[in-house]
Amino acid sequence: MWFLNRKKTKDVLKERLKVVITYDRAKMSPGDMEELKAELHKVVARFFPDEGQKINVEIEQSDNSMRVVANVPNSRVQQNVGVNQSAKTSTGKRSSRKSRKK
Amino acid sequence: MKAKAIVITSGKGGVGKTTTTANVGAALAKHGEKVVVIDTDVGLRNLDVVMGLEGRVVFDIIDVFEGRCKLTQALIRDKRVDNLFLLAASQVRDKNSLDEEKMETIVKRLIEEEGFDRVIIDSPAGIETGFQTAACAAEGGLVVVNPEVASVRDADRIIGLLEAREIYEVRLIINRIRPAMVKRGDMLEVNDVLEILGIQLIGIVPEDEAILVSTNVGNIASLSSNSKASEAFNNIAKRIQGEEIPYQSLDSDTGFLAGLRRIFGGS
Ligand SMILES: Nc1ncnc2c1ncn2[C@@H]1O[C@H](COP(=O)(O)OP(=O)(O)O)[C@@H](O)[C@H]1O
Ligand SMILES: [Mg+2]
Repeated sequence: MWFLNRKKTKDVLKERLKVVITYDRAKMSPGDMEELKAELHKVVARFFPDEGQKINVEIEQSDNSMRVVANVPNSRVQQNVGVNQSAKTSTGKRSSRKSRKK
Repeated sequence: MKAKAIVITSGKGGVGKTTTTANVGAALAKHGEKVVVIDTDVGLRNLDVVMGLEGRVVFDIIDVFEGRCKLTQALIRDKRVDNLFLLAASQVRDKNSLDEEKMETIVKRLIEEEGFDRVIIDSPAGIETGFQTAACAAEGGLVVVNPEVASVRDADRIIGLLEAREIYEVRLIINRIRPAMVKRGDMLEVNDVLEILGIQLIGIVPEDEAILVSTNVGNIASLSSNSKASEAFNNIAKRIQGEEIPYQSLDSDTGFLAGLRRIFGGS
């Protein structure tokens, strides 16, 4: 039935908000963020020359920190190189917010 | 909340800061505290009209700043409830008349010399001088947010600015929730907002015509009506005073209730 397949508009909103707030907290423009992803992509690709275009760098907001995740598909093993930036450096004073929550 | 001086803020305009200041301030007084509400929206004052006290403003906060009257002369006593006072903003001056040092002195004197239990400071929209002056003397904050994109984003920014000012006792009020829309999945629900903002909740206020009707005639809903919003504002006051008040159901919506139960540790 159509209404079962309809994506809740609030879920769309929630995802958009998460992205926007990730940029806000990192005090980075989306342009800077794209540049960071491109640079990281280059570095990771240097260590995995065979995977080249298949490497995928993503920015995620998780609770109190921002995560920069590079996914490297590998023919033998599936490797996952996670650069979990400490919240202190990525989101400044905001980092401790979660821990302050009672 | 331990904080005696509490700033009401949001970043975005029109989300309900002034409404919250009037209703929570009045409810705190109703529940026994000596309360002063301060309007810092210089040039766009409206706490006086929201409270129905516009006819009684003689001196305002800038008069106090500039020594044209005594602090006590500028305090307007509300006659509907004991121990509720208003310190109005100036309508004719601009934000350049605001002064953080003087604001801090006034708030300190209200607490230490005039014996106020609570100083509730209504901040203007934005993150500039007006907000900074409103926040400078605060020990705690209530961030008002509507469940929509611009408001949540601005609230996140404001929470960061409060932290930068080392104001850590900060609580969230989600205002203008519409249960029917939440049920349909067309409005963020309480736990969505909490997940994104990551601060502690102190109140959920539904969209309620009683707010408009009360404001129209200069009544304060938390004193005069039995509406859902009035109940919500009274509950916020009690939670500020340290009582544990369960969250009211906004309607019989089980999805919404289930959401609330998820947040507050039920099954
Ligand atoms: N819970 C509510 N239900 C219905 N109307 C509301 C509610 N909260 C605020 N309003 C209305 O929204 C408008 C803006 O509120 P206001 O308190 O002046 O916002 P702010 O001070 O943040 O600019 C006012 O007309 C007010 O009556
Ligand atoms: Mg206002």
